[in-house]
Formats: sequence, C-alpha cells, structure tokens
Amino acid sequence: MMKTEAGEAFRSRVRSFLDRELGEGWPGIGALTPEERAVFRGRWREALREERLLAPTWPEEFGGGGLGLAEQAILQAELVEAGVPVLPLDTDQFAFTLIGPTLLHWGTPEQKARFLPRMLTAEDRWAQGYSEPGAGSDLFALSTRAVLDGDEWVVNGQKVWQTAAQDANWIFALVRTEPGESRGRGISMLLIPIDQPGVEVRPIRTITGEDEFCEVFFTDARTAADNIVGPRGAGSKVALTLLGFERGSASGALYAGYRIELDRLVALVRDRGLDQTDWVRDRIAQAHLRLEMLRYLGERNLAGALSGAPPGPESSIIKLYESEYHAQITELALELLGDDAVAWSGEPGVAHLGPDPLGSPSSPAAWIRQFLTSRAATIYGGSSEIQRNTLGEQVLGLPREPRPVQEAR
Amino acid sequence: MNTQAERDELRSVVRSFLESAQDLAAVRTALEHGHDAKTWTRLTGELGLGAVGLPESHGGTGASLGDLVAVTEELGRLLDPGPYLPSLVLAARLLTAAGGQEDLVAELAEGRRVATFVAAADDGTPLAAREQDGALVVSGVAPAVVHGATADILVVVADLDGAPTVVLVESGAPGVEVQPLPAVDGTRPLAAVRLTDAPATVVAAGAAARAALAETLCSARIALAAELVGVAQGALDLTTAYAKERQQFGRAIGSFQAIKHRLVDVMMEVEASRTLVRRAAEAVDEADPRAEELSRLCKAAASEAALLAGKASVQVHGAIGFTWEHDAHLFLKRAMGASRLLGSARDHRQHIAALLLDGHAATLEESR
Repeated sequence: MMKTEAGEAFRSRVRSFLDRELGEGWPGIGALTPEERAVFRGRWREALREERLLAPTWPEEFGGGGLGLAEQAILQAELVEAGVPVLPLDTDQFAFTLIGPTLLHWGTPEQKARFLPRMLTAEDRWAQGYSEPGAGSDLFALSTRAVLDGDEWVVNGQKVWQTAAQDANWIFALVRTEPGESRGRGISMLLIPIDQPGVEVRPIRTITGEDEFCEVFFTDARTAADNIVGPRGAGSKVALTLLGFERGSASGALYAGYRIELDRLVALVRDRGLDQTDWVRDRIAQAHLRLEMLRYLGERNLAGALSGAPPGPESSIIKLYESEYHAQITELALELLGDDAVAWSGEPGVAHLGPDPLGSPSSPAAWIRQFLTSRAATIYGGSSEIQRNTLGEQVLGLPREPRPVQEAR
Repeated sequence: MNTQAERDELRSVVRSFLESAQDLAAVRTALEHGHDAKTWTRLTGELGLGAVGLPESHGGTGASLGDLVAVTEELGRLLDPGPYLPSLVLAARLLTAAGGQEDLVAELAEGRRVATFVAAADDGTPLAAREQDGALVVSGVAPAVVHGATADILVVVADLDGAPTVVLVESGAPGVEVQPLPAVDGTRPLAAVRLTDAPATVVAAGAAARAALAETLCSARIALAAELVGVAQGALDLTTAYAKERQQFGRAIGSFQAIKHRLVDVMMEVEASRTLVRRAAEAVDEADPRAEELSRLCKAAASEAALLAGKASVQVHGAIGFTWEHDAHLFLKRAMGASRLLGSARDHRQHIAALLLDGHAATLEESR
C-alpha cells in the first residue's frame, strides 16, 4: 500500500507505544493462560484508552484520538501483528464499530456527550439487538414493539443471537414503534438499559459448547423517550447507515490476523512432515493466493475510502471473501490433522470469532474450534446468501426475486 | 507513468475502437481467415496502442506495465484475435529487455512487422544453437507457438554452449518449418515451429539474456493475466445481460438465486483477480522484489477466474450456450487457451509452494 510520511510517523508512534507497554519478548496474547488473558485485556484496554487509541477516529472531546481512517488502518494492523487486541472486550466491537459511529452520525449532542465517554470507560457495555426468532435474514420482519408511555418507551418482544450480551448493560435494538406502517418504515432504533426487571438475558450454547451468545426478552422493559437514535420510524435507515462506517479501515488488521494464522498452518505442515506432499503444497499455495487477494481487495477498499470515492462492491466482496477464506483454511487445517481432528486434544483455542491471535496454540483442539467458529462468519452480519443477493442486484443489476404481494403496498 | 484516470482513458480508447472496428462477428471471421491485417495496423500504428508499455527509446510511450495491462484487459474483453501478445508483449519486450533492436521494436510497435516468441516450452526452455561456418544456426521444435504462422520474425530462446541466448530468425529463412495447429481457441492461432539449422542473429547472450527472459516472462504473465480478466469480464457481461433478459417461469432467470449467486461468484473472482493484476503491474513498475511472486499469483488467479466465467456463461445460457452460433464458447475457449499459456494456475501454485515451503520464506517475510 502507498506509504505516506505522516502515516509512517504515526506507525513509529504506535510501535514505541507497543514497545513501552509490552516490553521485550512479548509472545502475543494467544500464549497467555485464560486467567492471564482476562487480566491482560483489562490492563491493555486501559493502556489503549490512555493513549487515546481505543476509539482512534472519534473526536477528542469524547475521548477519541481525532485521527483519520488511514491512521486507524495502520494502528489496527500494528496491534494485530504485535499480538494484542484492537478491541479488548467482547462487547467493544458493538460499542466502537456499531453504536458509537451510529451515534456520532445520528445522535443528538446530549446522546453523544452521555454515551460515548462511557463506552470508553466501559461503564456502558453494549450488545446489538437486531435479529429475532422470526426475523433473521428478513430483518425488517421484526416484531419487537415499543410504545411511548409518558416520557418512556415500553418495550415488549424478544431479540436473539446477542454476542456477549451477558457482559453488556445496554442494548441498541431495532423495534417497531409505528404500528400500521409497513415493514422497514415502522421501525426505530432504541437504546435500552439491560439492568432492569423487564429485561432478561439467557445464554445460548453454541456449537463449540460455549455460552457465547444470548437471547434477550423484553417484558414491559422501559427506556427514556429520548433514547431513540434518529427520528421515529427511521430505524432501518439508521441501521443501514452503520454498514457504511469504518469502510476499509479494518483491512490491515484483517490481513495481519489471517497472515498470522496462515503462518501457523505452514508451521503445522512442517511439523507433520507434509511439506513435500503434492496436495498439501497445492492447497497451501492456494491459501496464500486467496489471502493475497483479500489483502489487496482490502487495500483497494481503503484507498477508495481515503480518496472519497463512493463505496464500490468491495465491502460486500470482502465480507464474503474473508468469511469463506477462513472457512476454507480451517477446513484445510483439519485435513492436515487427519485422524487427530476427531478429538479436542491439546491446548484450547483463543478467539471467539476470527482467527486465533499471535501466540495461540496450533493444537487439534484449537483448529477444531476455529473450524467450528468460522461457520458463524458466513452467517452473521448478513449471510453469504444475502450478500450474494445484494451483490447480484446492486452490482450486476440482476432483478430482485419477486416478493409476496402484500408487501407491495 | 500514467495516473489511473489516464489509464481509464486508455482503456476506453481500446474499447471504443474494438467495439466499432471488430465486434464479435468480426472475431468470428478471424476463426476462419485469421485476424484482419487492416484492423491490426489501425490498432497498433494509427491508434498507437502498439507502443504502450515500451520505452521511448524504442518508439514506445513509456515502459509502464500498468498502462500495458489496461490495454490487454480490454483486448481480452472483446477477444481480439490479433498478435498483440506474441508480437508486442513477448517479442518486443524481450528484445527491449535484451538491449538494442530499437528499429525492429519500433516496427513491431507500429504493426508493420509481426514477431512471436519461440521456445521449446513457453516457460523459456531453450532450443539448441551452434556455430556453423562462422555463423549461428538454431535447431529444435517449439510445439505450440502463438501466431507462429502469422509472424514474419521469430524471437527464439536458444542454448549456446550452456549459455542462454536470445536470437532472431526470419520466418522465411531456410530451415524454418511452420505447421499450423487446430487450436481449441480459434481466436488465437497456434503453430508448431521446427527449426533445422536455421540461420540466426544474436540479440543477447549469457546473464543478459537470462535476465531479459525472466523480466519478460514476469511482465508477460501479468499482461496475459489482465487479458484473462478481460475475457472473464466479457463472458460475465454477456451472461449477465442474458440473465436479465431471458424469461422462464414468468420471470427473468437472473432473479433466481441459483443463477444470481453463480454470477456473483464469477464477479468476485474477476474483481479479486483484477485487483491482483493491477498490484502486480505496479510491483513491476516500482521494481518491487515481490513482482515475480505477484506475477505468478495473478496469472493463477486470472486463469481460474476466466475458466469459471467461461463455464458459467455456457451453463447459464442453457442449450443456446452450447451452440456454435452463440458467442459463449468463444470466451470459454479463449479462457481454455490463455489459462494454459505462460503457465497454468497449478504450475504457478507449484512455484508459490516452493517459496512458502522450501526455505525461501524470507522473501515473503520481507513483503509484509
């Protein structure tokens, strides 16, 4: 990627920060025990926050770093390469990549002043409330509803698949506030406190055997009338806006993370004496090729964002590429493990989502878990099938599937 | 070096010329009668597109591979049947890299002469050269030479006493036998070339020849990968248009996910390959040490993208796509031919595997 003087100066700043904080011989967070990791995450988050690198692109008045997209991309790549998390808590991704940027765009001055600083201190920890049992890919079929009662919204319904909601104390949710309006038009985005009698969070066990995400039940749950983001009935528009945020900035981190993973896989190939086996060589070369494609698609996306060009198809393409690449590479890992891929042996893996970070074990247990967790990425955030519909319709201009007649009103 | 905007302009020059002067019906004529010489001289000489990517010292517009790939991608999109690849990408660049031959390269660039690249295999495996009565002669067989029967001059890779050598052989010289082959891809004719003590002139020898050959093959892989991206894009455009228009079960077949998703898969491979091709061309222009690796990556990627697009095109068109009269097979066959030229995807993956697994990891490490 094109290097600039300012960018490289920022990179050195990040590197000296990393040297100062991590010291000599830091092996990467993946090498820590689960207990050490939990402690490190807290300490690391504080260090990032004090350096104003936790929300690098947010305005300084809210505790952000006031930096640009280019710096953010450099920062993320440097952190991942160094083996430290970009967003240390599981709830952070929802605060810093979703509701935070949404509030910066749509929020009132009061909302920004109230919520953004508390995201940085982790006094407020966020979960996302979009999907429902009856509204997955067809998000706007959602039925959780809220009615205004004096100066409060009263919320009833159920949300599902809330990653890390057991750690969260706030949820941003799409709810139906305008009965009679059809589908997308009747929806608003509300900010709802979780710690109240009307909200119940129940964990859901995933295919890895862990309680990693939740369902959230609202029974006359309450939130202040002004905890609405954007105008009433504009929730679907507000929700779609956030898909455009941070375009491209994650590309460096994405590449760095998957490169660390591929290096680990190449080491596994050597350890198992498979490095002269033809099919293995072909598949490893193919993995390298796919990863380089992902890398330059990411750089192109970032370059487009930096030059102010209107968003192209890159974001959807990258989402598909990334998730499918990860599914393929973890599948290859299990093929390399052969008969060892049938039992959870060795050190457990580290990451809940995405590739295991620097220092993580290369055990059967870790790779099996990666294989399983990689199944999630082709489902969440718009399944691969939905992404292909979007690309087919918006980029190739193919006709939409006909919809049931009652929706046409 | 040109900016992306200037390159886009270059692309549209090629595109509008080919669309007006050489549509797919004209390409079909070439299947029977070879490429149209008048179109070729207009493309190269009049429009000056033969000079793209060649240094000014050789009558070119500047040695930018980024410019050249903008041209070859467009040539691929409309299945240009002319000898651009052998004459201007391979022969002219090899002569330029080997040094000298300014006049001949300028003639090639203007389309006044056509050259091709001759080796025992298109990875540059040499034929045999020896001294005979104080002159150099070359012998050996090049089994599938691109535009072998069209070219009037052969740029030959030969081995002279263990040293790689680049030599020129006139196609009309004694000892030159050219046998046209029934090429699968009729838009790019092939011929077997047999040389039997054919008289030759040395262009470069030893280390200079070896370096020139490596440099040329690296650039040519990228230019051909760009062509394959164009072929894939052309097939995708044809198929997408059909999927929007063709009605079955009362609606356009492109509304069915089975069709839509298949076309998106093609589009993704086209976009990713194009991105990789442009990065590879940039690496050559910047003398980036990763240029060689990237040239292999992009050729592998674009070869598979073009085959994917060609196969999808026949399938989505249904029975009409299986007919000779429909254009879908022209794209598929161009992909079949070009994906094998200058190394198949599998060949290049083998090289990449050696980089990754046989102790050359440092090269990749440095690239981060």
